[in-house]
Amino acid sequence: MDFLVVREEKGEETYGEDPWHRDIKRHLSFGVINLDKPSGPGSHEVAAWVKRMFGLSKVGHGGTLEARSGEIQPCPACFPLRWKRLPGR
Amino acid sequence: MSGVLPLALEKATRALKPLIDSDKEYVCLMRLHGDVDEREIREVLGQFQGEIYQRPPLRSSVKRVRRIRKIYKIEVIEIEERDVLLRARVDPGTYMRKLCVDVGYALGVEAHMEELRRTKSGIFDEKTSFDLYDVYEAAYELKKGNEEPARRVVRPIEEALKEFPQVIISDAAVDPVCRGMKLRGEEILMIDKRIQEGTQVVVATRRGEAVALAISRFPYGELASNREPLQIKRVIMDAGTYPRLPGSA
Repeated sequence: MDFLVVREEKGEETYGEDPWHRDIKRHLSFGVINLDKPSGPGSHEVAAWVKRMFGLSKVGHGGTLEARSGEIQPCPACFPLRWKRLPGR
Repeated sequence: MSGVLPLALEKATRALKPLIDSDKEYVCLMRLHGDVDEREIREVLGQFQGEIYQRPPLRSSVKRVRRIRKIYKIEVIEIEERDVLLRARVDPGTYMRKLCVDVGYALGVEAHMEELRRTKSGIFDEKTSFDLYDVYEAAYELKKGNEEPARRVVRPIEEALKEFPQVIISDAAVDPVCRGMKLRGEEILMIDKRIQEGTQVVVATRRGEAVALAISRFPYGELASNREPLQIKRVIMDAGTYPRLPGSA
C-alpha cells in the first residue's frame, strides 16, 4: 500500500478507538463473520440464528446461498430478518 | 447449497453493499444428461470463460433483463462419466445454475447443476471461515464472560474492507462526515496512490477506523486540492464517535 502523504496531523489527542481492540459490545456492533454455511438451513434462517445467539438487533448477510435456484440474491433489505418463503419451496 | 456467507452484525450492515458486489468463487457439480467426450467438455467450458449473457430466472428479485456477466475462470477439477466438478470465479450476480444449463445446451445433451458450494465471496474465503459450531461456541463463551472466541470469530468491519484503497482524513473532519457533510480536500491527510476517478474507497481515521464508503471523483493526485474530492456513498461510523473539533488545518 503506497500512500501519498498530504500533511501530518498536529496535536496529541487521540480520539476514537483501535478497530482491533474495541470493547466487546462495540466489537460485535461493527463486526462481521466469515461463516461457512452448511447446506440445509437457508441464509436468512442462519442469519436469524446468529442474531439470536448473540442477542443482536440485526444481522445482515452478503448474498443468499439458496438451495432452490443457486442464484445469488443481494439482500441488504433483510432487516429486521424477514424470511422470503419463495413459492414451491 | 453451502459455503461462504459473510454476515454483518448490527452497524456493520452499513458496509454490506461492497461486500455483496464482489467477485465470487464456486465449486460446482454439473451433471450432464448424456455422454460427452471429456475433451469436448473441457473445450466448451473454456469457451464460457469471458463475457456471457444471462437473464435472471423467473424466481428472482432483480430486473429480468439480459445482462453481461464475466466468467473470470472456469477450471475442471474432475470428470467422472456424466458428472463434472468445476471451479469458477465469476462476477457477482452470476447464476451458476443457469450457466450449467447453458453449458448443457452447448454440449447438445442438456445438463443441470447438482450441487453448489461458494468457496469465496470477495475477500471472504472458506479457508478462513468459521462454521456454525464455532459461532455458537463463541456466543456461549461470551455469555460466560469469556470474550476470546467471539473476538476471533467476529472480525472488525475494517478487516473486511481492507482491500479497498483508503483516504485518511483529519480528526476534525470525522464527525462532520458522519453527520452528512461533504469532505473537503484540505481535510485529507493521506491518499492511497491506487485511487483513480471512480474508485471505491474507504474514508478512514488515522487510527484506521472506517468512517464512510465513498467514490473518488478524481485521480489520487488531484484529491487534496479539490473542494469536493469524494462522493460519500454510505456513512459507517456513528456521529458523536469523534467529538466536534475546531477547524481542520
